[in-house]
Amino acid sequence: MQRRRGDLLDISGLKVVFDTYAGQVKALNGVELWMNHGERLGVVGETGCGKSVTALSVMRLIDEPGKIIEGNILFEGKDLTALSEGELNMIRGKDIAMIFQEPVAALNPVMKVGAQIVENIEWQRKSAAQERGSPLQTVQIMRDMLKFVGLDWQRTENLYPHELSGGMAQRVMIAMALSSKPKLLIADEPTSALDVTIQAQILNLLNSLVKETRTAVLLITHAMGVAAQFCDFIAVMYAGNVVEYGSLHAIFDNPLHPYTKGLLKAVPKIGRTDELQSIPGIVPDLIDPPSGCRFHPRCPHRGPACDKAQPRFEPVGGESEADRHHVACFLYQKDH
Amino acid sequence: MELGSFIIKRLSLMVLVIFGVLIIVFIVTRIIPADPVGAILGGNAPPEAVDAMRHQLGLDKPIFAQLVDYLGGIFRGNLGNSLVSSRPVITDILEYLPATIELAISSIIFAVVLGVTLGLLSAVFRNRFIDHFSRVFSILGISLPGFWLGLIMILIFYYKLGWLPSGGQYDMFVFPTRTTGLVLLDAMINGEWNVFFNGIKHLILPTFILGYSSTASIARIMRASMLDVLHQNYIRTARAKGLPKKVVILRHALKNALIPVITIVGLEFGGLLSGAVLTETIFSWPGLGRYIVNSLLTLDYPAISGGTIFIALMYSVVNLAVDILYAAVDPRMRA
Repeated sequence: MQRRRGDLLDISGLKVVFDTYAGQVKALNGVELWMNHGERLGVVGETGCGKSVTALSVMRLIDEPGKIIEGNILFEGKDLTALSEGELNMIRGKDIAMIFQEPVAALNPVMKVGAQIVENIEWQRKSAAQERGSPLQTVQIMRDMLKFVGLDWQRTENLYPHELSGGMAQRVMIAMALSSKPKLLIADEPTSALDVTIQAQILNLLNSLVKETRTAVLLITHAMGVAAQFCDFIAVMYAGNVVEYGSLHAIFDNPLHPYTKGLLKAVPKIGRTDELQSIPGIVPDLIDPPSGCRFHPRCPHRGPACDKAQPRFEPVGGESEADRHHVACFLYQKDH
Repeated sequence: MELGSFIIKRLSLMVLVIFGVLIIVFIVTRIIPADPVGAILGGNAPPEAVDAMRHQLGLDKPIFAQLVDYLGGIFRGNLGNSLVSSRPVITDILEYLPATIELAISSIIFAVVLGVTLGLLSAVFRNRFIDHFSRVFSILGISLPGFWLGLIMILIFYYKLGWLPSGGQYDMFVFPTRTTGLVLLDAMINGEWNVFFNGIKHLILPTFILGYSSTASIARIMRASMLDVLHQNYIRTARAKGLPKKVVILRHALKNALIPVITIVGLEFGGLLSGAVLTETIFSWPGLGRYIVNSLLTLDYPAISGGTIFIALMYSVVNLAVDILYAAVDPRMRA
């Protein structure tokens, strides 16, 4: 086994494909990512770049026709890709919890929200082979969790999901996810479907809660701004690869990969005078992805090697170790 | 809305529906070009006798006056007398109705249990053996005519194997005590277990024949609905909680998948109540379907109207029950 880079999560060489009628979609092409306990890692990229697939892979919730064909996902040293469904169910919801993009649709429409939280608490106790708390205790935890996320439990616990607003539903999801005190919370575009004002509220809430509980967060988002506001580390994904990874400071102050640079130029800022730029071209078809570096057809710095081989994902020299700055681009490889 | 006021609203709608059915049935039976007096007295009766009979039956009055008489009777619980047997229609109907209800209930239970199970398994084990089996079973159920299948079953299970009786509600030498008219229920109430098991044996074939096509429809709808539900986001949430597959399916998916099935069950049950005519005929089942067919053949106006009203009434009651069940299962419907 290779050396562990992050003591909580270490994804290496992860490849996921989906077999469809049109052909095999090579959704993840060797993803590299790692994080320590209590850290907040943002995964950013355009729609279809594999952010959500990465998140679902960690939960091992990739369904047919998708499958993990290569790579490891080490969670506290345990390889999640090698576990059985039964073993995974001991980790899902308990050590790793997840919240989703559309919170109302993510809640069961025919179950009261209180009951859905209680179910989680009960199940996690049961799977941990703890003695079952009395039902009253469980209900008390549920109410505390609702209070914890800023909801009035008396008003909320007996509501059905369709009676909640998007923001309330996401709060319920957060309460449910954190009720089992997970070590890692995966948040897959948790604010994308919400109003802008609610987005800020939810992010602030999440921010304070994970600080308080010291939960690590893997935040999936397409919005650079959201990632910048929330995360300690950023991984930039493009067409199934992490192309650049490093601390917030490294990515924003010293972006190296041409794609990262392009993304940052496309973010509007107050007081910015230069023109907002977009990256030319479109996201490639992953059934028949470009050869070599998958970004090369859109890259302004394309060189002769770029369509021949995939650039290695390597540390950037001359920076602090703590920045973990890594990039996958031939521009920065010494032997090119 | 409160469930109570919802039910009251639906009940008042039901009264309107029944009233409409009543008027339509009354008018249709009166305008068909056939003469019940001729059917009763025969073609060679002297004109005086025909006129006397016509007057006696009230058929010489204008159609509107006949309708008013008829409606007046209904409000007093009187559906008129049979033109053939002269017995009150209501008495006849109440005698035949329990057999139909018994058969319809046993068929719908059979169809729901088997249909939901098959549909659920087909969706969960998609494209595996059980799915293919269920598909073939369903296509046969929908395409094979019940009367033909019924005769084949009688041929096999009665004539060849001798395992099951060929028809009727119970054997000739079984004498059930009549309390409610539902043979199985009466047998249980009165502790007549020989009657109970005899009745069960007689129910098996008609239940299968009547319930088969409903089973098939329910299985198909259940499969489609379950497949749809299994792809919903909340199922992913349930799995992300680490719940085992069985719990995800039975606690989270099943109830959601049943919502569209409830509609079908309501419609099918109504169909079973009213559409049992062929099955009742094949299995000599003394039910309302056969009563109405016989009444049609003898142009027994009050019997036809009365029977039809009862079927409409049952249909409405079942659909009301379905709507209430809907609201109970799906909180979004209570809005």
